[in-house]
Amino acid sequence: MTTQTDNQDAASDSDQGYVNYFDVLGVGESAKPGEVRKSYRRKMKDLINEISRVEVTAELRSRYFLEIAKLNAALLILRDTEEQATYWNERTALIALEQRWREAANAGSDDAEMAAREFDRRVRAWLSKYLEDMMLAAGRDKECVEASQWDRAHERHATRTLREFRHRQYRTILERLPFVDVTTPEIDWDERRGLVGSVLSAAE
Amino acid sequence: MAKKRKIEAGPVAADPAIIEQVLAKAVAEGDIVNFRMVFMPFSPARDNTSEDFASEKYRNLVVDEETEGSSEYAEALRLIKDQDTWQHILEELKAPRPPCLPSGPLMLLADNAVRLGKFTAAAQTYEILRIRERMQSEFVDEADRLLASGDVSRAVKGYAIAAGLNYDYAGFPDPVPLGSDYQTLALMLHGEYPRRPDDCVAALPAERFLEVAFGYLLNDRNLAKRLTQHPLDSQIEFLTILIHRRDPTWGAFTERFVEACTLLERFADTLALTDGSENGQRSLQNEVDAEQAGDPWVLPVALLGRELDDGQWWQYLKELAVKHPAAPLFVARQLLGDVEVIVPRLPSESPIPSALGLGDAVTTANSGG
Repeated sequence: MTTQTDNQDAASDSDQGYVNYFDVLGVGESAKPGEVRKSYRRKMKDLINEISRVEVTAELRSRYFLEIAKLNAALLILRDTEEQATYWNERTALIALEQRWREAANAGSDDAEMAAREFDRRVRAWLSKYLEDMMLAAGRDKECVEASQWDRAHERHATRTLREFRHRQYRTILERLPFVDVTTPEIDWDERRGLVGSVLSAAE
Repeated sequence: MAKKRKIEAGPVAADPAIIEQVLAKAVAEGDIVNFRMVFMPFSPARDNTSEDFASEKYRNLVVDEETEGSSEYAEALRLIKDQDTWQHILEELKAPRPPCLPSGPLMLLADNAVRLGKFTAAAQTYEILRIRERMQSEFVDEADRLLASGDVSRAVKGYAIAAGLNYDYAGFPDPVPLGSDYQTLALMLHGEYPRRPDDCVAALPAERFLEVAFGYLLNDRNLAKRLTQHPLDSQIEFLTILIHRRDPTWGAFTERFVEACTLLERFADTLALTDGSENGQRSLQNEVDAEQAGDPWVLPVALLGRELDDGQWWQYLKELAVKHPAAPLFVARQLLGDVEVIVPRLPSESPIPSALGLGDAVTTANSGG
């Protein structure tokens, strides 16, 4: 059986680190506020039903905190057409900036380094705004609180989870980009495995 | 009036041979902090600063005789002196921007850090090289193979290294190597007062106890789950070796544990009443019995080996976790009269206590629970 959280994971895999809140709610990019609200309420209800059916362990708790926070942030951003447009434009610009930098790096251009630093600054700011600040702000929004039962205690517990999510998304983006802070390493995994063997067989 | 002395602090050009030696020493010693320091804007390796390697404060960076004679240092120096690498280093030291570190020496630095048990440095360096998680997998895969073949000691080493390479992505403001802060982990282990005696960690069934113990000692639930796929005997042997690796003075704790168990006999009546009461709540009879049994603080004092001024149960637990990381697995929170203390507790009908040298204490510690 596919659960709500499985669907969310699939959406996360496809967004390449830039969270796509349209995918989170399962609506199109031209979705009207009414459609956004309807989808949000349906998804939140499904998620809360799912939570009530399973035994919530420590790992699952963090996962559910994150899923609720994502849905809340999606509603907060997408129900307002102006906010929705700002979010989507910033996201699109960031993806374009990443592309420009990769092209500059591949071409060995002098601008590559500047582009890399600029991209890094902007991607950190974007992730911080849309993956952490917005999620926390949504947890104080009346409509979100009503549907998700999110309260201050949830916020306290979720802070670490949200920060970890933001850092992991940053890492996801970083790992597909050219190296900047270090020269590109040449990695021979047979040699690495040999090292692991020699470290473990060495006398203590 | 004394004449003001003019301080002259013009740029000091660094000797390239010293830079090579400083970098090679950092690589040989698996020291990522000193390695990065060389490339900092204020570094004495840069020509435009007034800092000088000859200064007393940089003495720790300069190679000593012992390091100079080691094969690790010779290999690191050879790598630093490689023409392309050295050229890159010189360019980076001249560039007025954040440095691009040479990956070859960094890889060797990380490997040396692993060999020397400097897992925090190794984790940071592998993270920079973007191979940390893959290196963790390689260590765990090899450790699983060793465990399956009966080489438990080396398997423990593999798991300990893999756990040491963990990263905390929730770190503030940026991710940091995770490490094992047993003071905090022990409190989390005993965060909830057990509703029944059987709920305390030590009284869990052997299979569940082992998973909790691995998760706590390695600070990684995924590694713990992986370990529990192995036969129970292997797991117990693994736990025994892991505990002795984490705590070379475990023998001293076992002696004190046995003593604490003997003292616990005095409180047997109180414990029996507490265990029989609803949710282990206090009762008047409980308090009367506790009064007659004497001072309950003798129990945590015996476990820790010293008395803490105005110490609470959690203070004893924290210090115990620092001195003997595995000890919190064998204690439980307990109300005795109107005070809450930690008492020794062992899993009943389990082969684990004997394997850990706690066999002599089994009868008394179980009589309490």
